[in-house]
Amino acid sequence: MDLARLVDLEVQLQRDDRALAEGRANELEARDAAIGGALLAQGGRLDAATAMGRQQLAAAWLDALGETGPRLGHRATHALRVAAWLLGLAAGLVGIGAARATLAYDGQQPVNVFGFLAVLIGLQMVLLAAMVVALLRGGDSVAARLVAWAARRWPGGHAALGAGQIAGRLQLHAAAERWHLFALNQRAAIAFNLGALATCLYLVVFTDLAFGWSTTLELGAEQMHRLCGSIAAPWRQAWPDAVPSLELVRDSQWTRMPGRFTTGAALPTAVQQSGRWWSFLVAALLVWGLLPRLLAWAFAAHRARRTLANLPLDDRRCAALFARLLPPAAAWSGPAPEAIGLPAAARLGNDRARPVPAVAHVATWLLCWGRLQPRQDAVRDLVARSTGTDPVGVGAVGGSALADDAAAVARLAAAQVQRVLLVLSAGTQPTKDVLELLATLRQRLGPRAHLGVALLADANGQLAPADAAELRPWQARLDRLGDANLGVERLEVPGHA
Amino acid sequence: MPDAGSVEPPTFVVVGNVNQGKSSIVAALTEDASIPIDAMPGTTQRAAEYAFRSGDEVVFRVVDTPGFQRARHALAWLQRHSRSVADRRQTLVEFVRVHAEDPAFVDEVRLLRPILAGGSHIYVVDASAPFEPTAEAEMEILRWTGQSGMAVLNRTRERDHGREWRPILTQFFHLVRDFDAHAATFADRLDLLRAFREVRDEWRAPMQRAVAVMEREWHERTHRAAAAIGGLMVQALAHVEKRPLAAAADAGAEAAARAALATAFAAALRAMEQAARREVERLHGHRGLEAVEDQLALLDADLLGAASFEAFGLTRPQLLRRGLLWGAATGLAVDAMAGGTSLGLGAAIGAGIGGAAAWFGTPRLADVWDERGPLAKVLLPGAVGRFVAAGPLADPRLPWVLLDRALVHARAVRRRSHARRDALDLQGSRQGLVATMPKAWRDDVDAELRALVRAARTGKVAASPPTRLVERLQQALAAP
Ligand SMILES: Nc1nc2c(ncn2[C@@H]2O[C@H](COP(=O)(O)OP(=O)(O)OP(=O)(O)O)[C@@H](O)[C@H]2O)c(=O)[nH]1
Ligand SMILES: [Mg+2]
Repeated sequence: MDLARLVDLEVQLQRDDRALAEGRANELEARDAAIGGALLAQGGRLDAATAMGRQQLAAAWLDALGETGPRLGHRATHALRVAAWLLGLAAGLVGIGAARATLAYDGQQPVNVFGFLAVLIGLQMVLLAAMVVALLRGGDSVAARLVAWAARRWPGGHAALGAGQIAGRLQLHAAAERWHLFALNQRAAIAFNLGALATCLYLVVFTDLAFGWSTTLELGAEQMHRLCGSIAAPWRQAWPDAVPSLELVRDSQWTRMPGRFTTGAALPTAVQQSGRWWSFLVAALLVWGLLPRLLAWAFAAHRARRTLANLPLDDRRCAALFARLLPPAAAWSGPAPEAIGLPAAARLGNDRARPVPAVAHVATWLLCWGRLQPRQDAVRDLVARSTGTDPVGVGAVGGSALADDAAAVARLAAAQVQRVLLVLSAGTQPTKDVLELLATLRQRLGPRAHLGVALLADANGQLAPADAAELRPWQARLDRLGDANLGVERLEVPGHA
Repeated sequence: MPDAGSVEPPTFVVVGNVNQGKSSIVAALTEDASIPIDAMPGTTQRAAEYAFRSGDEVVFRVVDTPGFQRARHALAWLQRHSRSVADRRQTLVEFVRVHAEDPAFVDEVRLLRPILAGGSHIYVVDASAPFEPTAEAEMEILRWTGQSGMAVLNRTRERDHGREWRPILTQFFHLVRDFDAHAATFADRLDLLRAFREVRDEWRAPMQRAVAVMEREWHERTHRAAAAIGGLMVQALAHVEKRPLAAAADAGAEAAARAALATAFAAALRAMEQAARREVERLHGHRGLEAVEDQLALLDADLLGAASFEAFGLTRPQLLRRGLLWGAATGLAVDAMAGGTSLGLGAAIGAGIGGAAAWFGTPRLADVWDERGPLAKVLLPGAVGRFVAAGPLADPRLPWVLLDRALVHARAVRRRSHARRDALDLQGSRQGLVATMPKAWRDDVDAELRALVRAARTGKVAASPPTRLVERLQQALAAP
């Protein structure tokens, strides 16, 4: 993940968050499921379990969003680059200024080597050390703090910007930000050193300089020589000429009151000896000014890239994104429900059964369906008790042989029966098979014959009334036949209310 | 040997009389809450194929079919047209061909086709109804397919005729299993799939894989659900509600703002709870689930007494210790409270309760502070002007209440069969899930919650729930 990508990711996550807040979750889900599906179809291995996998996923997601995705990342990084160059330019100018100031020679006083070392080497080292300490201490994101500060300054924008949220997101990337800022800082410092170096060389080559050293500190020539020796330690072997000798140091000590060298030498002599000093100063600037900045910059740039490359992307928003994007490893798929089932209007849902009329007190032919056939005597008893009238006759239908059904119907037709009660076990369904039998009866007995259907449940060997919910599908199916003389009826069972 | 890619995946065709619960079983197995299920016989009108995929490979398939409507008539036709036992399957093929467009046998044709195409039948009976001769015709037709199959006993009512059915079914099927479509849990579903392995030898390996894949996916899902609940805890424990005050607001206006805080805080917590629930439901394929929930169960004044803590399996000494520990985490002792500045538990969770007033005198649940308070600088560094704010939660009980509610809900969702079309019943679950977990688990979770509270009070809210908390929650969800 590079910076541009990260910016785009954050912008898009912010947009999605707003969409979620507006209740457009379905939209996001559909969009991301489609993208995830397309990525799968391309044969990519999608994996949200590792930081690496998540980064690839996020990048692929941003690519897939294409035109609809944010375009801010490139502009932001471009702006950042321009800013870095401008900063470098400014730092270079400051470097030039600093070198000119410390190397200013007016022919009256020699350039103070001590001042040069203090400003261009000492101060730089202190600043670098302070930066490293700040870096190691970590702490809050500077950008987050800036946002919070801005929100305090301009309270109106607070809510509109969602400053708290933005600060929170920025805080997530505090480490990456720290390294980036550090690297940026080092680049500026490099420019500073280059500016100083160039100025240094320019002044040395094109003007006359006399070097001396003076300090209000208790510092003798030997100590100064030792100090210079330590500073020059790194290049002592490689460039012996750039190491000031004790003699040179002693000769160059300058007392300010009155302005003269302690040895009493004249300034023009010092100008001749300046070559010995400037090589030392240039080497010091190279080794103690420029080199540490180059190293720090290389390291910071590397770390900045690494931190970005290792961003965990495991925060809540990202997790929600990956959940939308990645279909579960295993899943079911099937047809749309509308394509396979009864339309909702034809279903029963939670409809309750209508009250069912009791079996009428009239002479009735009994037809026992299937399972009730062997128990037809018990059923017959029940009907007799329920209606106070003995059934006129009993027939068996719904058995294994279709011929038996036909025979039963033929008997009823022959007897010109006008009242039939079909009794079935509760649990038997109003299949086309049963309805067909009723249709045949209607056809053979004529439109005026009363046809009733009753259900009896088997409770531990005893016949019991079926529950109302079981009657409902029967009512619904019989209603559809549009037959006024056909309906579900209730058999009173003693002992059952 | 043909290469693996050309082998048809195992296909199980769920058949039976109408209204036996075929679609219910398919819905439970495929976790599909959208499959048409209804008390109207003939709800399923066309065969519907559901494929279980791992990646882009189909591991096995389940086919839901219309129920038998005229099995006796179909069998009579077959018997009339068959000359010997040797041509029975051919006769069936002939039956399907001849009646392809015949409305009289439309259901039988549609249910037989996928079997003749190579599927194995899963014959479903509703064992709350007695055996009928029509069922014999159905089983006989299935026998004519020459395919091996299996019978599944489902019950749609209390009555049980299973004893009567079993010996009959074993005459036709070498495998007979019980499966309660409405009560089936993940473990029950896996059991049924394990039985599917026995239907055909060559399907044993792929079905073994299917079971393994399903277990892995379930584990992954458990993790995601735990993360969602963990996320809820992180969010809820850090929540801060703020109400701006006019520069010139008087004591009355401030009191009103404080009262409004209570309602807003409660609403915010409820919204977070709802969002986490929707996520858990989404993960389990239960979108748009209605829940019947006893909101008031948690509003009982009793909750604030020590007795209610037994619901979380916490004893009095434990509680005391917890109270002190939580006091340390929040920088204040739990019982150091001022009625006027505390939000009541009822206000935080209950719907439609008359503000915090009912809960005065209860331990402090959340701090209430203004722009001068020390929390203001830490938690709302960007805020300007006068305001009153509440949060984060301080009383140890509320996080536990929230957590238990979330776990109870998640457990109910995870156990819910996709065959059900009624509302999710969360009532009567006063005995929470937390109480059933071992003490070490509770101590761990307590420590995690306290760490969250501590973090919330320093304004350092984690972007994702701590791994350890998620692991513990996963344990609780996976517990049987
Ligand atoms: N109580 C209970 N009811 C069930 C169970 N299984 C199915 N039902 C109910 O029985 C009725 C029929 O269920 P379906 O799954 O539609 O049955 P089906 O066999 O697919 O029916 P058709 O498609 O009409 O052939 C519905 O009202 C279900 O709610 C169960 O295990 N318990
Ligand atoms: Mg169905």
